[in-house]
Amino acid sequence: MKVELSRVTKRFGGTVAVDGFTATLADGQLIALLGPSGCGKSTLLNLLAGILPATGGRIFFDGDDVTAWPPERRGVGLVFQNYALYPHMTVAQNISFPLEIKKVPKPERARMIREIASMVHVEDLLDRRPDALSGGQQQRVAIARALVKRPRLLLLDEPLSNLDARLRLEMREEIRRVQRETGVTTVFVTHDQEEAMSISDQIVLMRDGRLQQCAPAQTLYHNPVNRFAAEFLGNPPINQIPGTVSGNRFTLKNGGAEIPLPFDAGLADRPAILAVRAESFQLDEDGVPCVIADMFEIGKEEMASLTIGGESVRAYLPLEAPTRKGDTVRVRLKPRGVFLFDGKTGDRL
Amino acid sequence: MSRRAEPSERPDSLPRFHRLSKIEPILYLAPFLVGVIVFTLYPVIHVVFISLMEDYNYLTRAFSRFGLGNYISVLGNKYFIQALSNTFIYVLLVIPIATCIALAAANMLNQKLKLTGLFQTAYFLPMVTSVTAVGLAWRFMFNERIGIVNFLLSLVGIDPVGWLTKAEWSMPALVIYGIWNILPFTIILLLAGLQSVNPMFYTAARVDGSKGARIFFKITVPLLAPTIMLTTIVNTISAFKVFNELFPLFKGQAGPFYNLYTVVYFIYEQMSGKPRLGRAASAAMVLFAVILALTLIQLLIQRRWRGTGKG
Amino acid sequence: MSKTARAAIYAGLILGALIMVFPFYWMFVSAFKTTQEINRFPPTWLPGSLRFDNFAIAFQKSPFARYFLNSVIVTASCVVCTGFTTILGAFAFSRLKFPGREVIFSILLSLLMIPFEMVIITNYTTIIHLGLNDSLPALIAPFTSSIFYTYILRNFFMTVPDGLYHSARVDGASNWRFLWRILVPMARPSLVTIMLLNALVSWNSFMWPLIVIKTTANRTLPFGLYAFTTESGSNPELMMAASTVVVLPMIILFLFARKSIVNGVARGGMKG
Repeated sequence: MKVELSRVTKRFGGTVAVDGFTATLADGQLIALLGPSGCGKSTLLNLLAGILPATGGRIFFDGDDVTAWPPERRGVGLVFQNYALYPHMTVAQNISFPLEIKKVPKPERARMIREIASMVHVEDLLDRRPDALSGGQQQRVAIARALVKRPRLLLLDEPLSNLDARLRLEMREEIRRVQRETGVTTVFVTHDQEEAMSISDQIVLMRDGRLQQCAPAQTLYHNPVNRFAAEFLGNPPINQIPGTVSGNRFTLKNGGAEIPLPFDAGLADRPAILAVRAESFQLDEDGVPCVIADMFEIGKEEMASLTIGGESVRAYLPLEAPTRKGDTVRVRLKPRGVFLFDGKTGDRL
Repeated sequence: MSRRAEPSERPDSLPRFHRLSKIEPILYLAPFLVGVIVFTLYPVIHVVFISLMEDYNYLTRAFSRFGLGNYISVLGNKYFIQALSNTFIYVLLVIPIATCIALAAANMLNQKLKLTGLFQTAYFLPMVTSVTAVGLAWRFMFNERIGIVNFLLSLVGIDPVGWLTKAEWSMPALVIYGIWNILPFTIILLLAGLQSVNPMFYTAARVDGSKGARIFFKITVPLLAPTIMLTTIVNTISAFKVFNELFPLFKGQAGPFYNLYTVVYFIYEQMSGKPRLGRAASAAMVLFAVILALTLIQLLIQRRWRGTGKG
Repeated sequence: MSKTARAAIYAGLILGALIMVFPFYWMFVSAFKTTQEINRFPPTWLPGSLRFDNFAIAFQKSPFARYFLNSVIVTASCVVCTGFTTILGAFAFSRLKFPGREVIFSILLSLLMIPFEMVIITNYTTIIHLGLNDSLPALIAPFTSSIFYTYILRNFFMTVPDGLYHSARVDGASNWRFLWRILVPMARPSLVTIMLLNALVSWNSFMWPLIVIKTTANRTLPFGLYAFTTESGSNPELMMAASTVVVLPMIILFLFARKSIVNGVARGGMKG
């Protein structure tokens, strides 16, 4: 199902949680609603579910204006961070609850429960109560309950944040798999950029209730529209150096160095922020000299903390054995992962 | 659970576009509110008016005039003055004694001993049983001629006491029964307070070399002070309403020689026979004034202890 | 703890337990004694024989079966009605949004300190004007809703995470359905406690029946028992037999549900 949001706004008293939000979510995709906490992403999810009424704007499901529809009419499935399983019901009863309300006949119900339970691998847990399940199992049941009534849209609110690191990896693959198998349009809220990047077809990046960028993960990473998008994605965080850009040269604000850019910015004497991903440095005999302040090994890669003209940056560099702290190396920037932003507005230059 | 960091994002209401949503709360509240309004809210307001209506007739709802006549007549009534003084004496005797006994009992019940369940059952039984029925057992136990209490006293050489027949012994009998009656509730509250005391304090005291009695008075009692205060006030309020206890002990009279009037008994008497509701109402207002004062003290204590933080 | 200290505590506990339980023991034992035996001094600690005649005589002299039935009817009605209004009210005050919700609730809470002895005067006239005087409904009508129990249950309902409500709503469950299928089953322990406390208070209620009931056939047990002692002479063995009948149901209830009742009392006290 295609979801369109047009100038959707939600106010709570004086505070604006969602502000003129416009976006189109394509059918059958897994969409991550990403942003720092407090950015309005959960509110947006609740607006999609119909739990909250919108203050302004319109929401369309496959062209139908559902803005005024109550939750039960929208045909959405909802999964919560804390799973929200009914504690006094068994797994089977939990999954069965939405079907009971839809008055699905009993034999049909049993068949649907078995089917969905085996899809999310909880078929052996049907007689247990939620308190006898692990976090991951509870989440599987919650997903089964949300999917069993065949929703047009599946909404997951921070589905992984109550799980430990290992389970989180496992469950996000599961969400991806189940979404592929069912083909249901899925929106999941997260504040974890890595989570968003690893499984989503499309990321909707939000800040302060506003849409920042809506694009596939790779586009977002390699072509952020603004400083916030560049900052929010990527680990380690993107390096940022204030200075002035002129053509294809960037002069540090403190005057400590001049860095050649891999492209011509087409600007003259423009103050800007140079943002460089850690993997966008490479050693080069003709490059800018910098001092190795520190070195770490992260997995199989070498990470170095460099000082360029008084600014410190972090870079992945293939440093050879004799190199040590205090040595000077020469680096240049790769064409990919280097951006210029306006220091005040954060807009891409 | 839910993220506190995003309070503004938490959905707090359902969409207003539900057809029912406007009148739905009224439907849910109606059965509850009808009872509360008719039998609590309205009477509270009404009783103030009745207390000011002289010669109020509850059948015709007629009255002669508005004024303080009922209050004057109640406050000038020697039985009401006696009721007030009896009630105060009763409270002043029952509450301190019951609190001390309950404190000791709660402390013993709080020790990690076997059979605690059995002991609890024994100690809490009077709480669930009818004051009237058990009062009859006490009346029989207090019997001057064949009562077990006088028998036990005779074992230590004390002559038979006319517990329920002599004016001077009727108050002690009422007080003993009152204490016995109020103990379970008091013990439960104090025990709950004891169980919420952090065992760390005891460990620390024991490490410092303190022993039983010292721990009890230096650690337990001070830590329990707020609970003791609140229990005392709640008990005082309920002891102020002493009434039911009189019926089994004294065959429905206020003591053997009409010497044991209590405030509520006075109110009851004004309502029975040929009801004088105006007087009953003004007596009830006096009772309310006392309870209101006690409740305010309770709230003050609760606020102070919440403010300073408990252990 | 030293051995002597432990022994001292046991001794103290046993002594206290004996004092607390003795009146019950004495009541039960005396209920089986003959008139001669009960008038003996010094008293006998055990009855000479287990004779149930005293119960039969008491039931003959006074319609205790009727009183018992009335008590059951009144208690059951109060518990069911109060339970129903409490569940609905607590739901409205915890889940539904309506203007003035918090204001109304604080007014209700402030009414908690009103002693029943104060509203009894107006309630008496209300019952008369409703034409319910001297009837069983008069014993039920004023006790169909409880601010105190509603407060307790509302507090429990508030601890239920929003997610449960929202997912039920998204699944198409109405408020009504959510309340009865999800919330009420979850609140069972609290509800059981509330209903037990309510049953105790209702069963043992004395003053109100004393004021509104005139007809013998409409008396409840405690009132009937009291009336029995003034109307049928004061044979202690009969009194004790009748008292046993009044006390026993609640003792049995307490033996089965002690934890629930004690926890309920410890949490909020009993509004008496």
